[in-house]
Amino acid sequence: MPSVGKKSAQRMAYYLLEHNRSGAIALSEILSQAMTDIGNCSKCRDYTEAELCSICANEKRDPALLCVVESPSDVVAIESTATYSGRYFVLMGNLSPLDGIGPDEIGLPKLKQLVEQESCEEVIIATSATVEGEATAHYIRSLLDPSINVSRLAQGVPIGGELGYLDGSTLSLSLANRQRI
Amino acid sequence: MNTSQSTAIAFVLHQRPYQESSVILQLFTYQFGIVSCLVKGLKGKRSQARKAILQPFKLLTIEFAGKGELKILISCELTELNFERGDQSAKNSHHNFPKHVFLTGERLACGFYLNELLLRALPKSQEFPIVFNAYIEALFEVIGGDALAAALRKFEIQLITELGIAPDWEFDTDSQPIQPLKNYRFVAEEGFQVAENESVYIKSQNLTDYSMFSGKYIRALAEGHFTEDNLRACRGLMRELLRQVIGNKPLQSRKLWQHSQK
Ligand SMILES: [Zn+2]
Repeated sequence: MPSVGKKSAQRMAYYLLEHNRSGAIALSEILSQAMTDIGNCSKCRDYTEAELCSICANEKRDPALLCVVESPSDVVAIESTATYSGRYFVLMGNLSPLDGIGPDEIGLPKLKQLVEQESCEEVIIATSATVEGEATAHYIRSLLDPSINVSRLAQGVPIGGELGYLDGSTLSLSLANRQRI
Repeated sequence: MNTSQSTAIAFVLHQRPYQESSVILQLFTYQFGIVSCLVKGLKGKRSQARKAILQPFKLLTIEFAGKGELKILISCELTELNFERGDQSAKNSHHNFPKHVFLTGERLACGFYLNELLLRALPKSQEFPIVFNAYIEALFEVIGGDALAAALRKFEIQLITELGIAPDWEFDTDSQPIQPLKNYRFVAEEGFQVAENESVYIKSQNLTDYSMFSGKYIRALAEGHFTEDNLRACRGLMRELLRQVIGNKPLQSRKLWQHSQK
């Protein structure tokens, strides 16, 4: 488990056994319920207990705008900015040919279907700034109808960042993708 | 590699996460061939600069330590191409390897293909300096050239030559010179075998046999003379030759490449 080593896990187990058995039983029930009840949203693939997640089910979210992310935690991160009103599609990974992860494994046929069904007009690709993220973005562009507006998150200088501390790759990319002001 | 610490010129071929904040890199080094390296503490803002350079297609100078198969990365930095080059033909063509490479689409698929091929074909911890130079040559083309397919074929030929599994390009299995107008079949460990009678039969039946190759394509591959019309046949022949090292399991990056060409 992330952040929990063998020793910490052992301490937690002993603590629960000695001091809080009823709490542990409650926790185990909730966990087992979560593991059996939580599935994937039939539209965006994010985790949900229902058929549709709360974002896909929300009528106020703009169905014409779709943001493609790698993981459920990316949805949380973008939601916390409170600046995005469209919907999401969660890949649960990235195209990674050397790991044997192809378009089917990250649900791209489903993405294409969703974009067509919901008549999306704009797709924002928010994959990582890695070679796999780039491959995924490019594949999605070639998969979707040319009439659909597809963009990728800008890569550049962080707010409050000084150029001297920025890595050369990010800086040169920011320079190449500079914006007219 | 007896001392516990080594320095090498390297490319990252592949990166995969390990535990919560580490990654395991597969590196192709000039000095030691394929090396696996653990990089610890690669999460969060402070390691951003390191993450940015530990991406494929960047020429690095790395230091690593460890006696087992999995090494520990000590340092890494982007580097200029200034080590001695073994390849004579490359002498006049050189400028430095670009520090900031952003491959996309078809070029990226080619890059993935080269990396996957190296990982599948090369044994670990064995130096292949000529393949390393060939990889750099191929990357130059993949980054900025316009003869991608030809560059891949040239790289593949150097790879199988260095692995010692290249067939005799001059003579067939009966020690006769390979002739442009004859058809041949590749037999592993033996070479090109004439398939003249079979080809007459196949033609008469209107069949296509993908494991049979015209002598003119064999010559083209051997001499590196690639044209629009022979590249396709050369690719098929090369795939047959590569089967010796990578087996029958298809390369995953080939799918991406096929798609990116649409
Ligand atoms: Zn949903």
